[in-house]
Amino acid sequence: MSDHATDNTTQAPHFHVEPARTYLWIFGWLMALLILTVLAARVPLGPFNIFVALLIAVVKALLVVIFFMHLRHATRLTWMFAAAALVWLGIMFVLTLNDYVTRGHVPQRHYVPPTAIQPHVPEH
Amino acid sequence: MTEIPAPILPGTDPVPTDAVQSHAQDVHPPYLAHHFDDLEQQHEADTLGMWAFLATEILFFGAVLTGFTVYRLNYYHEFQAASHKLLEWAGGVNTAVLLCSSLAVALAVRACQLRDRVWLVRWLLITMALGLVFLGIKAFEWTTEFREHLLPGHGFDYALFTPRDSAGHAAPHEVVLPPEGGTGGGSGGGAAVGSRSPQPDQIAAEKAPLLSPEVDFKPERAELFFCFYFILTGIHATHMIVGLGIFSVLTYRAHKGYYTTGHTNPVEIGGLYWHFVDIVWIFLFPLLYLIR
Repeated sequence: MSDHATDNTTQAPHFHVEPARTYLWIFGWLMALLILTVLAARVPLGPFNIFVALLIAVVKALLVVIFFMHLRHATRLTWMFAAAALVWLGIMFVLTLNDYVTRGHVPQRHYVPPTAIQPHVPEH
Repeated sequence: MTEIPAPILPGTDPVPTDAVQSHAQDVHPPYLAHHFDDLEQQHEADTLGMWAFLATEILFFGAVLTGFTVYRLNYYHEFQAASHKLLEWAGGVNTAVLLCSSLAVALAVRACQLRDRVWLVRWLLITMALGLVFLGIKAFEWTTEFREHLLPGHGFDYALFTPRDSAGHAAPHEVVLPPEGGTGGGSGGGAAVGSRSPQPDQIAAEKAPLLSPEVDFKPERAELFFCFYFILTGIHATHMIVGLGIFSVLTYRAHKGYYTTGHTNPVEIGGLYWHFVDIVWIFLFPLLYLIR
């Protein structure tokens, strides 16, 4: 153990040691946001409740990703991999909801072929 | 302290500049795989590989969440009523438990980087204990919901989500009309009561306080919510169990001293997995429990 104790002073350069204070601060913010999201669900905002809840969740996830998962010290390539997941997730959501959300918004018309239209003949 | 195993390959590789110097007779640290130039390259490859895996995991959960979103938009009232059957305090406490466990993981990685074997093992054990607390609360929730006949399938109690008239009979959907005198009361005042009786049925109101007199309110859609609920929380809990297995191995090997000689990658990678599972729950909690 003694040789390891001396090794505590020398760090291999391939990782970055955060001060414990940073983790505690991020943890405090996460807990505060958890309380906030529970309280925000009680405020009647109509359809905006879900947006507030998702916004808080995204902020919490970003705090975890950037600080706890050390993305801020990761390489650009790692950033790209993390972002790529969100891009594909966005494609899945946007293209799916693009269909389901707009159903019924476009007026449906029954197509009547021109040959089926009978000229109106007034009766006399 | 268990002796660190000798390097697998005798060294034709050049000595990396950032190699751990405590084993000066080794040409490179034993944990540097021979197909990597140096520790930094190995660290980048490990991290990148884990993020690639996490990207697939995001899409795995994302597919279920996409379906959930579609139905939540279409069947909002039923999903809202179904969400109120969940134990909100349990979901909130579980979120806090997972956030605590994430902090423990972050501190475990830090202890690993600082080569503090004792605290590394301690933080890993704390993480696993918190993971078990999460699963325990989750099991309690599932048991409660099973007893309340909220499990989709044969035993599902549609009456929990059926609007009732004053006599307590399940009213056909067509009969249920908006109550006279407006709905500007409280959250549950007479909402579930048909128009025939001015006296609100307290039992029905308490049993189904949120059932608004929607003409097309269908209890089957609430059952669909519970399908999503059990699948989402189920695959999340499966990930938690896998994480506990990973952390068991990590704790054992950390106790043996494998990760306090500068070999931080396995603890970091396992930590990434744990944080990811935490993030999934960060989204599941408001999406499932907080539909108000």
